[in-house]
Amino acid sequence: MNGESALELRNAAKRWRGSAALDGVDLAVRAGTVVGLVGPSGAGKTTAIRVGLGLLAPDGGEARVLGGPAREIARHSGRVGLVLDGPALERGLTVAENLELHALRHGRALPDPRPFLERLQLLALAGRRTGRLSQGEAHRVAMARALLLGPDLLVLDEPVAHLDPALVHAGLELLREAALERGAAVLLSSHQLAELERAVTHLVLLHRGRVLLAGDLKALLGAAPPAVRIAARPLATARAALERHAAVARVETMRLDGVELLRAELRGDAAASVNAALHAAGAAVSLLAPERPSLEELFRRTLARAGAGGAA
Amino acid sequence: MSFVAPMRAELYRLTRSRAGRFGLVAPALLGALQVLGGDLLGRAEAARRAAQGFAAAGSGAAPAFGPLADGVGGLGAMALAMIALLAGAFSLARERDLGSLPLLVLARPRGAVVVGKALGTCAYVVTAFVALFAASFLAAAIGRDFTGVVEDGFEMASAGELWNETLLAVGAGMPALLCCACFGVLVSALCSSVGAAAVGAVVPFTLLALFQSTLGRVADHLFVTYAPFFSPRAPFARLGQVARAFSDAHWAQGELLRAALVPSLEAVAFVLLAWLVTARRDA
Repeated sequence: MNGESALELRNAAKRWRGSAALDGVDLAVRAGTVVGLVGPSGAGKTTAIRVGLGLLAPDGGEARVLGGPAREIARHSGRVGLVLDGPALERGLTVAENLELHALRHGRALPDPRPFLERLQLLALAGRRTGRLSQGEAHRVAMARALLLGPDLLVLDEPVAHLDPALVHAGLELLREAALERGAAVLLSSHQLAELERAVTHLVLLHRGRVLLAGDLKALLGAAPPAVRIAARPLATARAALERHAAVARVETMRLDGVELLRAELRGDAAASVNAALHAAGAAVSLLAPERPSLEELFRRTLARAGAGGAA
Repeated sequence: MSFVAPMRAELYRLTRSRAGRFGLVAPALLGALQVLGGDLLGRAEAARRAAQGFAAAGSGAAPAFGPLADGVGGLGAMALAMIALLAGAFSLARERDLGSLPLLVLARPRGAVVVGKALGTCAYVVTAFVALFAASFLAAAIGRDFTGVVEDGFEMASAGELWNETLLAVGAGMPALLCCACFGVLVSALCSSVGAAAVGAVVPFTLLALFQSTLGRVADHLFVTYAPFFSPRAPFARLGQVARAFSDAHWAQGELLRAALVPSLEAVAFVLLAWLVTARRDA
């Protein structure tokens, strides 16, 4: 499996009632990687996943799964773990019975589910009917089910949306382990960018059915221009000084925890000269901190460059 | 044999949930209650006649075949036909409602999923029928024996003949029950929600069953004619008279064969149509 694409979209196109849901999308999920699929609502993330898994026929381009056409995905029974459209559990069955049903559907013997149930804090709920679980518990069961048969490809659409922070970490850790220790290919779609950043190795940013950004996450974050956050009084004086400074590419005002700050993108390592310029302009600087490049920031800036807002 | 896994999964799902277990037990309870209720009414009628000074209608207990036929072909069988329809109707539509259909089509080809669902539902219906038969048998055996019908010292039908007629009627009547399940699966393939599937299966079936007697010869080619519902032509419905060896009760030539063949062929057609529909729809 190593090096091969477990899931691949080549120039995939899909139209819904005349408008393009996917427009020439290229996407590859290789073994041993965790690919984060992000984008504003309506960007085409779920459509890309459905086309990629052969659940929707593309209007153009090609979709391949585990080396074969996506439409023939059933040939790889048990090698694809999926969380799509919510937990999709049988409400009349218990957690353990839902897992057994999953194994039966794939014609497999039920492997020991306890390691997954334990990691996701579900062991005590194994005998409870899933209709009586909370949303978060049901989503954890769905994640355990996706991991149960040791799949080569894991595709999860919003798997951690309803989990509390401690369990988000446990869930994402399981997915990372599946990829990095077992060599599975993982495609993860989520709006929770801070959590996603900890789990993914690669990123694909979709917007209006097109890929705006794709590649290794570290490389993408490393390519971001250095930036500093500045708290200074008076803010207008500081901003004017920054806008005059040759090493400052862009200045914006932002609010963090109720405090108004300035964010300056720099051309190179110019923090010291920016600090000096602020003092020279008569601004009292109380904070000047380098900004760690984050996925959230990358997302925001990329969409802004593309002329699009929208919440992640 | 890629349909075996979805078939086993469907049977597992149906027999593990509370609603599924209720569907297994309810026809059996109804069948047994009908036998015991009929028994009570018979005793009340005999007591009334005795109080009025009339002699008892018959000497000794009647054979158990008649009450067994009442249990197997009465309310229990009607309930089972409805349960078969609904179990079929929920099979695919429920997966769509839950969002688990993608999980199924990732596991097996769509055709195998449809065939597996239909066979799993049929296996469930057969299991429920076995329970209905067993419950009716036990209820009928209380205070009676499975003996032949004797009138005025003349044996109208031996116990062997009556077992033979009963099993023939059961064999000829089962395909109609299974066809109800397959009709439900077809409706399920066409519908996006459980509610629409339930209405889509029950309403047309009930209308056809209610009006099949007005359809003349056309009715011979409809599976509802042979389903134990409102039809007096269903083998289950006619079994009561045959099992009591009524002088005018007998199977017409080809009747049982038609009752077995028409629903069987239509069941296959329904499953094939459901396969075609599911193959063309997005999951």
